[in-house]
Amino acid sequence: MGIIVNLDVMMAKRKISSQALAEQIGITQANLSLLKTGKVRAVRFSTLDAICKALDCQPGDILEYKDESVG
Amino acid sequence: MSKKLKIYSGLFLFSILFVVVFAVFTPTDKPHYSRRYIHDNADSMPTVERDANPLVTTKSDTTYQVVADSLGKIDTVGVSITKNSHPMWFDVNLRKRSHTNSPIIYATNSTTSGLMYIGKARLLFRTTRNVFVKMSVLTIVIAIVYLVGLIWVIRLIIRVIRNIRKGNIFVSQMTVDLERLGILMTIFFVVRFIWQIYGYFMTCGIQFEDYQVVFGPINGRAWLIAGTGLMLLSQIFSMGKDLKEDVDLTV
Repeated sequence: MGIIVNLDVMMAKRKISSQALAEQIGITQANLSLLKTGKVRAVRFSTLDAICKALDCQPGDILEYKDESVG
Repeated sequence: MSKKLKIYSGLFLFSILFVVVFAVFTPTDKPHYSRRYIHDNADSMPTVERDANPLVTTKSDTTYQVVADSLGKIDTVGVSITKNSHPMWFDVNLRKRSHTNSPIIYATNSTTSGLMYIGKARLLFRTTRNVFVKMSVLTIVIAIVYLVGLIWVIRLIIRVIRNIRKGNIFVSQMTVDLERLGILMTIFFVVRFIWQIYGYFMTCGIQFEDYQVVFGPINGRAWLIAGTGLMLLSQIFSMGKDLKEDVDLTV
């Protein structure tokens, strides 16, 4: 998939742990780990909303698109 | 739609058509030999009566004993058939007609009873001991392979039911098991069908005067429908597995 999740970068900037973020968002640590590694198939808007609220950022700060066919 | 789904759905449709067409064009209760003899006296010549729906049937078996040029005759109840000595014997089983009082011809392959006279039977294939041995060995080999396949099928069925009871329905294991089960069952049908055709041609090798061999109903139709149906079902379960993964991996 061409969508890259930069959640760990944002988490490092805000100095928040996985456990704390998972609790704030309302998902399990396992799911958060899947999200960080880009193994998820889809993200609900409600989850994205909760992440942006918790990390005080924009969706574009967490999600990036890279065309896999190029290069 | 995946390639496998297209192929399996096509196979399933074909199997339904195949069974329906053969059911329509193949008589269901007709015997292998389509005419019968009515014979009042063992010494007199047989009277041939054309019968649209004769109940006299033969049973062709893969391990044959071949009848020689003519069968012996039985005069009274309890006397066994007199057979000409021959390196290879073919037992032809003719069953008694139950709903009529007419004298009929019937016989079994051992000590038997009944009035019987059948005219000349011509053998159209070789009847040496070698051929008999080869046929017997082939039958045994096929039987062993069939048994192994049957045990595999039973194991797969147990595994599928176990997974269903645990609630693991839309998982890869289930898809694989169902597909294998379907393929095995379809192979079973194909083997039985080929064997039935072989049996038909073997039966054709024994010709009785005024009798013709009729190809009977196809054996193992249920295996074909079940097999191709399971193959199609496995692909449906695969689609279900993908949908479940999408749901599970949505945060």
